[in-house]
Amino acid sequence: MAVSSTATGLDTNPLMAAYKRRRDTSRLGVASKYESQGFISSGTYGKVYKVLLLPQAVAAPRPGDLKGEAGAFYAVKKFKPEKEGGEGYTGLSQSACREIALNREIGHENVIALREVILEMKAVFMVFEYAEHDFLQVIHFHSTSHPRSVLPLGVLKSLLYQLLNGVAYLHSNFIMHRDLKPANILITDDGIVKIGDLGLARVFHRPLVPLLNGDKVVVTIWYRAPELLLGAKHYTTAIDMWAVGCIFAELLSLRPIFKGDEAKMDASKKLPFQKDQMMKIMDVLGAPTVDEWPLLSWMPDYPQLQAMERERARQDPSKPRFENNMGIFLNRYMRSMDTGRAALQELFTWDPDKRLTAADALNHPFFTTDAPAPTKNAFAYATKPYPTRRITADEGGLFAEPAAHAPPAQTANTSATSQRPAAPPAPLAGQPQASTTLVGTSAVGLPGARMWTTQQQAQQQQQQQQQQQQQRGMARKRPRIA
Amino acid sequence: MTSNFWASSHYNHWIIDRISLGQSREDDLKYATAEELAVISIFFANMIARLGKRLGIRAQVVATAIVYFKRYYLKNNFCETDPYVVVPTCLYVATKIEEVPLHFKPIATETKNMYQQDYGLQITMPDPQSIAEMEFYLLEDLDFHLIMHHPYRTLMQLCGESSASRSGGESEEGEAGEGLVDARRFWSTGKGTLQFEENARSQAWCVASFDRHIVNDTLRGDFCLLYHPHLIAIAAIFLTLVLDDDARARIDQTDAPARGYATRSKAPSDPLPNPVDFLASLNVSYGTVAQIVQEIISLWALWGRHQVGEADADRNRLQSARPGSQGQGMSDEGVIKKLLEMQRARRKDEGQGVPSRLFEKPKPPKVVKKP
Ligand SMILES: Nc1ncnc2c1ncn2[C@@H]1O[C@H](COP(=O)(O)OP(=O)(O)O)[C@@H](O)[C@H]1O
Ligand SMILES: [Mg+2]
Repeated sequence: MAVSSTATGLDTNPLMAAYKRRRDTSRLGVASKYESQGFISSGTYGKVYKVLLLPQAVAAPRPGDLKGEAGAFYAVKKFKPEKEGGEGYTGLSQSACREIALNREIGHENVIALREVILEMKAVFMVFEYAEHDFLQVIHFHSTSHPRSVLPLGVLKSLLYQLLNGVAYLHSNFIMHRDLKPANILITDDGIVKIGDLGLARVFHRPLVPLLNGDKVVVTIWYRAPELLLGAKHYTTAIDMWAVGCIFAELLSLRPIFKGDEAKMDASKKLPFQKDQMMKIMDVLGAPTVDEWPLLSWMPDYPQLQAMERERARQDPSKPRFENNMGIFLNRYMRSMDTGRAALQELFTWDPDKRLTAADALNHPFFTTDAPAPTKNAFAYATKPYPTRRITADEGGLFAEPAAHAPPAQTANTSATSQRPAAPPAPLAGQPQASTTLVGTSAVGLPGARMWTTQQQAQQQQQQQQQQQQQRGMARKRPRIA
Repeated sequence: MTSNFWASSHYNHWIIDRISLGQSREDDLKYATAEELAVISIFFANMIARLGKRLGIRAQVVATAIVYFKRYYLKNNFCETDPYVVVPTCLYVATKIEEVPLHFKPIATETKNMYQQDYGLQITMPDPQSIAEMEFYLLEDLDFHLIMHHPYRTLMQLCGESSASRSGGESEEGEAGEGLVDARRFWSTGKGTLQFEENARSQAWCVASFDRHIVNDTLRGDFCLLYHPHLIAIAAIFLTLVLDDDARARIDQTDAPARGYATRSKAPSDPLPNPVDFLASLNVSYGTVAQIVQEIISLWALWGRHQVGEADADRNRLQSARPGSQGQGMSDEGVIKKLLEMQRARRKDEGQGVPSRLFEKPKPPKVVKKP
């Protein structure tokens, strides 16, 4: 698409050129409404900035927008325009479309609210309410404090309860989140949990076509449910509940409970069996049986699982089977909490049909009978204030023309990394590459869509390496479109 | 909401009243009659459906694209924009939102083929870039409200999945797998009245997804802007019940289809009393349903007066045996010419400083909320 921008697009069409001009002149840009406070984070598709709402822009400009609060902070997620050789429009990514479409429809205390969407400079800006903390940050805070401290039970329960409340809302509205992990679960400074990042979420009214042929890979590997690992063609909201279980365990132990290495896709483009991740799960839970999971033997990758069991028997005749070691974990982190132990185990049910649902989890005795009861302000039982979000210099990234924002992105990335010196140990080699970022909607079956200049590639690779060092950018598989 | 219509952007922001609808057309009405605008609307809905067929896209996605198109033209004028760019863009966005994403390049190619082969259009074809660029403006004019509630879901719930999947062969496939639980929230009396499926007669009612065709027909009119989708669905079922296939065949033989339909609809209880009772038991506004029924009939009548979309299979169904009307109404070529005229006339007025209302104050349509 090496065509000059004046020779293509709406400008070549007199009627639409005029239309475009009128719309462009009447629109209020991001810069006229918000003042950048700095850069927060860089993800697979988006960059997130902290901004201050300017007093003249508190009104809700279009139907469905939220009224603003002058002087309040917001988080702006700017979608990198997917680029082909740096020229022109390339269409909004499927992920951005989903996130916009879903966020415009939903509203719940425990789901991050979208204030407005602004299109400008060929980029999309989603303006969200600002959340000062997130689960990952809270976990880091405890795991890196000296001496290492655990989350107060009241805080843990409240965080979990509010998370479940948000998940229950999504599920009751036929939305699967499909990427629940600590980095995507935010908390406001008054201790309200806000589920964020609906970039992989989708409505499951119409499961027939989509779940089969849609996104081949969902959920960051460490939080991926066994049915997905075993290649289930059809899955349910239970995949989110598995992830909630993983998050629960991580809040207890302050490290991912099933920290497997992601197997990379080979040249055949066939999805690899995630053997190491499966191994990590079975090391803790033992091997699943057909008794407890009747449909297990129907899973496409069941033979792989059997092969793993045979291999284990061969390798270590003294311990021929994967044993359930969950008791050790529970004794270590929830010694005297019977209901808590039960809740976690119910979340780690192999059979997705029997796994605890969000609605049932909210009524679990862990929350309803055992003290302390969850609090509306999840930090009510906190012993120390949690540190606020680290913001680094924006360097023009937010309001810059898209073509110019690659260099600031790099500095930003570096600082984002250094901001978490004690991030959980870097994922091992073989983590998914950001090459998945190239596999957006716009790249479907079109070799041209993958044209990248070598310079961009170099930047991309550098970013990938940096991203690998942080859990945030890790293992985020973006949708691959069949 | 994505599943609860009453909490959706569709209900809260995009069901408008007739007055706002009329206001949104003030500018275009300077250059065309209301009937001409209605024919233009049919023409473009047909065009989107046809492009969808060429691209192998399901009816549900096409329906979403058509609603985008209609909403876009609540805020814009035909005389001031190029609908030939808006058409493929609506489809492009719809494929993404309905989770069957297509890249804009094949869409651009297919659009060009269609414009040339099916319409003989002599225009600058929208290049891929303009579709990608137009996406931004389209999303903005849609206020980023992208999730649609279509009557198909109600049809599914009322007529049962079996008949839906039976009839839903090729491109007519709608939503599937919807639970009845959800349906109750919309319109039932809550007394377990939705067991159509179990009733053997239901198989007969939803014959060959005729009601689905009626729903598709409603996309040619303004129904999706004015009425709640479940009421459109009920009106379609109602018409299906009243117009059994024989009656339909008879009516199709006459040269005044509209009158035929109208007469039959006044005697709703004669062919299949049970289902009509059932419909009457639903907790919905029957005044509105009756009005929708009347308007569908008027739409058919209007459509019958013109030759727009003559080549489409759907049209043949309705007017194959209609003699003597050739040359009276607008054909596809007529619409294409009319649009050019409108745009030319508007350009002239603009040169003379006549303002257009929509662009002076692009305010959103006024929403009506019915309890
Ligand atoms: N509303 C918000 N307030 C504060 N920080 C946020 C907000 N939304 C996102 N962030 C930060 O930005 C990071 C990336 O945002 P996310 O929506 O998850 O995008 P991505 O798709 O790139 O993962 C989050 O992990 C969080 O640290
Ligand atoms: Mg994220």
